[in-house]
Amino acid sequence: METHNEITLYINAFKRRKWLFAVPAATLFLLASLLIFILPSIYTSSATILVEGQEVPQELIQSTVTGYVEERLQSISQMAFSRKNLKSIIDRFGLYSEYKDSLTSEEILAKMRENIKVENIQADVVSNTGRPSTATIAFTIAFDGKYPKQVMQTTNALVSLFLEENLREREEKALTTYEFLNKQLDQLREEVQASEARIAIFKEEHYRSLPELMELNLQTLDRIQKDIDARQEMIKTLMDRKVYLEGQMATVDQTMYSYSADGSRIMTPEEELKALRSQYLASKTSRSEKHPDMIKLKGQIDLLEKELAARRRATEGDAELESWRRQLAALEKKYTAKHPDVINARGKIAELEAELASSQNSDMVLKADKGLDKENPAYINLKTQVQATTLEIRNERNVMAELRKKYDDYVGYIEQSPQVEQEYATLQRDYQNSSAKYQETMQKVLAARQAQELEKEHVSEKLSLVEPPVMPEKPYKPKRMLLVVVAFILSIGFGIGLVAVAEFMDHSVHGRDMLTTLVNAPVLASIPYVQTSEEVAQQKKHRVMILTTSASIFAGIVLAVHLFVIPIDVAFFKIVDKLQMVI
Amino acid sequence: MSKIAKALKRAQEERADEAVVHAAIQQPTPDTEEPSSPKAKPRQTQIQEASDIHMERNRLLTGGSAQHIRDAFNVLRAKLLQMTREKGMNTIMVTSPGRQEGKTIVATNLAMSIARDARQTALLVDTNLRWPGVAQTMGVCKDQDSGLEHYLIGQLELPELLVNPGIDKLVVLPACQATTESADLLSTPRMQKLVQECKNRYPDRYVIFDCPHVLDMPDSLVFSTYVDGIILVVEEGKTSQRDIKAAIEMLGEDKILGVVLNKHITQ
Repeated sequence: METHNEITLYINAFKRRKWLFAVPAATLFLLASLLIFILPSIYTSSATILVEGQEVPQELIQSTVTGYVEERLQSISQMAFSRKNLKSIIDRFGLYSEYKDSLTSEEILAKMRENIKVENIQADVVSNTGRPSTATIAFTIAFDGKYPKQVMQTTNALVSLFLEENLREREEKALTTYEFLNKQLDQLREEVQASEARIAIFKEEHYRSLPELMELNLQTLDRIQKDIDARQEMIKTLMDRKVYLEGQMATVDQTMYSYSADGSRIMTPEEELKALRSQYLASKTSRSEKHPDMIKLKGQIDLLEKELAARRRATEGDAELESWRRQLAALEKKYTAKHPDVINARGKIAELEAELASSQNSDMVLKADKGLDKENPAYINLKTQVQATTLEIRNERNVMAELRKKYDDYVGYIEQSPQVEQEYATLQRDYQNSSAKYQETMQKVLAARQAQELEKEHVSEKLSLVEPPVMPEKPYKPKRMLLVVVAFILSIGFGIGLVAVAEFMDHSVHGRDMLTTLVNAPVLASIPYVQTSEEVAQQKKHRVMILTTSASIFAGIVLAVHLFVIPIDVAFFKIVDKLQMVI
Repeated sequence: MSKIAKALKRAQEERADEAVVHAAIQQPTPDTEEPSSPKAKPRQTQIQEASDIHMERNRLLTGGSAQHIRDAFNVLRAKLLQMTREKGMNTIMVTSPGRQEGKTIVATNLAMSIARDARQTALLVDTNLRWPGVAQTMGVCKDQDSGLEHYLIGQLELPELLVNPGIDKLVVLPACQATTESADLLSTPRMQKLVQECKNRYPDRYVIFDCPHVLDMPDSLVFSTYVDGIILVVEEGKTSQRDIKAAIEMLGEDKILGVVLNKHITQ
């Protein structure tokens, strides 16, 4: 009931203000319709360009032009539709000539950019990861304008610009990538070389302490230690032998079998020296030192001392020489002739031989040797063995001293090793890093070269014109009928709005019902407006005038449509055709 | 003008011709009548008949008026008579919240309807001294010196002012000159006396007072104390709801007999 009353109120209000609704709504509709039919026709021509994937599988050659297609298209369109290019198209096809006097070139360019539309065509695809996604597979380039031919030509030019720009940009990108990587590769090569040089110098400086020789050093150290132990054992054995031989020798009479031709025993030089010294001491008590006998004795003693010294030296030299020769033979079996130990042994032998030769040339030694065969052979044998053993011991000690020195050297190498290792590791790491970077960049350079070839051969991702622009046959906008319908709806809305505003502003009483609810007193009567006959006549006159005006406006609209849009007879037949189609 | 309207007009004119101008307005015995003034004219109600054309131009009901309008006034009249008979009222004031909302037309047509159709004698008094309209509307003010204001200042007596506009059983007491001292005049004892005189002199008549609007004017407020009932005229689409409420509040709900919606738009 309440709703019914409200509806009645609305209806009454509408009836009350029907003219307020009708006149503005009709006026607005007429003006809008006129404007809609005056609006110029806009034609559009569009081309479809397909985004074709790379012909060579991407697993084999990766293109250097990457990123989302949409982004690339956007950047290409920015470059293709640059001021210079658009200006050239405007001049070539005489676009916007009607605006040349009224608009600046910037405004004309802005207008043209508004009229160019690049729209992506997307499709659902399955990505490499297997997930469904949306990708741009093609796009359209369209241009709007007033003249069909001009529109088609312009679209064609825009498409060409776009395609050229795409190729140019791809090639440029590929080349830039290749050049950049090449430059990087040169830098890295220099770095690697520098690193290698540093390592070589370091190795040279710390040859024996290098970490890779650590094992060898330890083994060598172990071997030296063993050698030292062996030498020590040898020396001990030799010492024992020497003691034994000396003991033997002590039991053997030096002159047991040495006698002269007259049957007197021939004394050894030592015995002779001993005897001479005793004689000298005995004679000294009775004679002065300047006594010829004393001088003679003194001379004999000196000579004997020298002889003994020379003999001792010769004997030791022989033994040492023999020992070195044996050592050299052993070394030559192990090492080459260039080994320092071999060279050292040879040097020593040469030195000893030279020394022996010089001592044999001496008159004193030769003279002293002459009496040797007069000694006991067993004694001499023992003595020789003792001397040889002594020489061997000495030799062994020398060798052991060298071994100890060598041992110390190797201990030093091993002690230095951690520090060297740290520095060496740093150098190695730098080298490996540089080397890895170099290798990586090398791969990239190769890939970039391939990608460049890909772009040159045009077998990478490319844009193909699948639908070239055609000349539009009819305008695509404005959609006049749709606009008329919209204008009609808006006009109705405007009229209703006016009525609503008027009702909202109006606080006066309307209708008996409102009055009844407003006052407690009864509503005695509702008196209609008492019209005079003059008013009636005036009203009739108004109606006639409104009818005449409406008819004139309608005729005007029909005439305007006939002149500016479409001939009425054609429109009529079109409407009839459409109606028949609908039926 | 339609044929019917012309015929009605002709009939009216013929009736006016025969009219017996003496048509009789019976005057009761003046028990309480005061001595007439020196300027008093003979106690004869003047007959000043207005033509149908004049009445029609002034939106008064004639034989040619539209039936639905006549019906509307008949309804008003019937309801009023019913109410007044029940309550024994005979002095009714017609006013409105604001100016030009159709008080005079309603009052005049109501009086005419009572006189014509109900065959009840009606006295229409133009108490709108600020903008007197009854005389002009009915075409009865031919003499500028014989209006209500002259009675109130004591120049004339009641019988000298009464005019018959050519309709049986209808008497008009016009106000002919506008005055800005309306409220003062309406609050004089003479006014009170006039109302009392009308009640006494015409006890079986309906006395309808056409008063100025209520808001911004003290006239009707002053005058409302003299009458039995009030009819408030409101104009559809013009009188605001706020004014209606204010007017009712000023006049008092008790005395208001009812409201008349004027210029009602027939749906």
